[in-house]
Amino acid sequence: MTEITAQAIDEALRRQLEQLNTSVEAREVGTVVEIGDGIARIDGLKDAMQGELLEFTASDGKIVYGMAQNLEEDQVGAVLLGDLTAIKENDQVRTTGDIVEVPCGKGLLGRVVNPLGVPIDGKGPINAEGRRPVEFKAPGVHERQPVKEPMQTGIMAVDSMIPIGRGQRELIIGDRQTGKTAIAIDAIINQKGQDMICVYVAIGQKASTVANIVETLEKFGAMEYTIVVAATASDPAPLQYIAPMAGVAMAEYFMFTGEDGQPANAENRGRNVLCVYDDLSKQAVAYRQMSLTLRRPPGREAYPGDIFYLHSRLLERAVKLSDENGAGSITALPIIETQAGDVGAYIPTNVISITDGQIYLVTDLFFQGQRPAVDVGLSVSRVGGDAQRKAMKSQAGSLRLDLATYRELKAFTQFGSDLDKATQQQLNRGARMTELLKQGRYAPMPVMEQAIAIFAGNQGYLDDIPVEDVVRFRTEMLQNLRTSAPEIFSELEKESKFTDKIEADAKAAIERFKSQFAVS
Amino acid sequence: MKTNRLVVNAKIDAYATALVDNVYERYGRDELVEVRNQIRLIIRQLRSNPKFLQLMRQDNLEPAQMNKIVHEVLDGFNSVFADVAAVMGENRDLHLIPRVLHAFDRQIAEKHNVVAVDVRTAVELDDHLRQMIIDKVKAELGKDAILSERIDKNMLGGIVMTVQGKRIDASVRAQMNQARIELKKHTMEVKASD
Repeated sequence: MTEITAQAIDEALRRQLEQLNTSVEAREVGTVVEIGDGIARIDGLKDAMQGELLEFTASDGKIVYGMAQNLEEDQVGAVLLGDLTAIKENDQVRTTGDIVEVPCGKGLLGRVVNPLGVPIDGKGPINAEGRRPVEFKAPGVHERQPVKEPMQTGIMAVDSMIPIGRGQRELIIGDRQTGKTAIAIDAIINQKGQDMICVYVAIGQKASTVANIVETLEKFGAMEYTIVVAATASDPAPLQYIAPMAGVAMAEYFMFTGEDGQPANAENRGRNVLCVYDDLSKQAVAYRQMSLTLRRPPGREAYPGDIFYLHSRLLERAVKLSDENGAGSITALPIIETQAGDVGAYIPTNVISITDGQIYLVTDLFFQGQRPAVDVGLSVSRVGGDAQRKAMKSQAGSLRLDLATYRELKAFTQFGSDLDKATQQQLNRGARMTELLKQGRYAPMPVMEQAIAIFAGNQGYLDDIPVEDVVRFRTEMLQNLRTSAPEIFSELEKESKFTDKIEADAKAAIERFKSQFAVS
Repeated sequence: MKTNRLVVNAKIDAYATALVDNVYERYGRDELVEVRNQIRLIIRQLRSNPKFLQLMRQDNLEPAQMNKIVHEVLDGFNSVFADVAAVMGENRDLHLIPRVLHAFDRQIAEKHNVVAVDVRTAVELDDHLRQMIIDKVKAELGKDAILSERIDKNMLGGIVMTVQGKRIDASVRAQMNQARIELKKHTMEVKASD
């Protein structure tokens, strides 16, 4: 062990002080004219840039940072990112010449940070590989390629009928307590070993909720590849506003660089990132508060006029890069909370129109025990179909049809008319297929197991199983197949589609299992 | 037709011109900086004293009453400044004082080739240092500098100069603060790499 002596400390300090740059530079200064609600109005700073980091010096010497927002003729409106109470009228403000940036790199994996990249998990300082600006223009058309690789969530209802591709923006929308966060967390847990980095951005949530989420991710070993960016309900509105941008800036670093930390290109592949924004409704509310206190004119529902642009420029940063640019990707899962199922409100319609589809969660289904409570009729994925594995695609097509017919007939049978045998059969099938989609939390399923389960349903093996036994049948069947016929999964993985041989083997194995299955 | 914004700008220029021209004619160039310091003092008072601000915004006062109040408040200040401020009070334009100060700075630089340099030091400047600063400003900006000096013991040593909205901080306090940040950063890097 190295011995630490007073002389060694002295030498180290001298060495560091010698390297110290004591040059003096001229900086623009202004004076705080007005302060309140986390907003400062500053006299001076004629050359301040939009989004520039400003340094406020309190009368006691304390430094607080802020961000320039409104550049007006005689004043600058800025939002404070730190201690709101430290700054008073007449305090000095100086420009820094920097745009707000966050630290990036592998050092952030497994950490919980605030939107400025400051660790809040008590695990010490972060060893960042670099820094990236919070605001960054999304890659252009020629830098991208279409979504073509699947991003499996491990949730059967999603992966089968609302498939998500790497680089896609898929909205998760629903009322409170419908399982929106659960879907996002399950998707993160399912990325283990999938060559994916995850960024979970918590906006305006309770600190206890964030702590629970972190604990869950740790429990399932998902924190190793996850960064949690938290702007909790007690954080000022400006921090909640920049949180999603800070999260995507951290994600962009991985996408734009290879494993060696060098810029990604055709030889040096960029990494794939999943970015969850939980939730953008709260970010919109924080931005509304900020804008109103900055005296920007209110628009619909008192949101500022650029609220659409705020979300569109954020979600446009989700991208699948072209092979020349390293083929990295950012998949965005924004979450929006609706009020009493009103998807026609301002923010939900905005984000629905920006994203490439939505997973719509319904309270009624949730309380009927259909979990995840995905309304498969209203949920859609506009680009994910191209990325879906062929094996799953072939099975999911008939599943979608079965469920659509089931919904239609179910509504019709409520009139109490007599049913013919074919209709009865379709109702039976629909009820079982709906049941088949039920899945517990933190229990992601590999995609090929999902395909086999749906295959069993499509082939009618569930038709004579009581509805309440369907989930147990599925679980035990897959367990049985994993041990008795593992080659079916490996073949399916290899061929990526149901060949005649795989179908025959699967049918035989399922029949074998079914003959032993005892209904309750 | 002029927009409302341009009308306000024209008003500000008119107030500043009245101040600059009259102060220069009656009291000479050095008094320009003294008046500038008086305007800054009033602005500080306006910003930090809500009662003063409230008084200046009184809508129910007659212009003559407002004129009288402003003259009473600015008793002892430069008479030209007091007169111009009284007119601003009559026109309910006292809130424009900070912008008049910017226009005032711009006009004295343009018309009289002078810039005001706020100099803050821990000890009083000697003539040699004063001349050095004046020469430096002349070389950098091509204008004559008139110094507005202030002693600030908290600085420990060194000098802080503010000219045309830009600050050059060469104080011992700022340098020590910089050293503190650098050492802290370095310590954190070492700790993280362990």
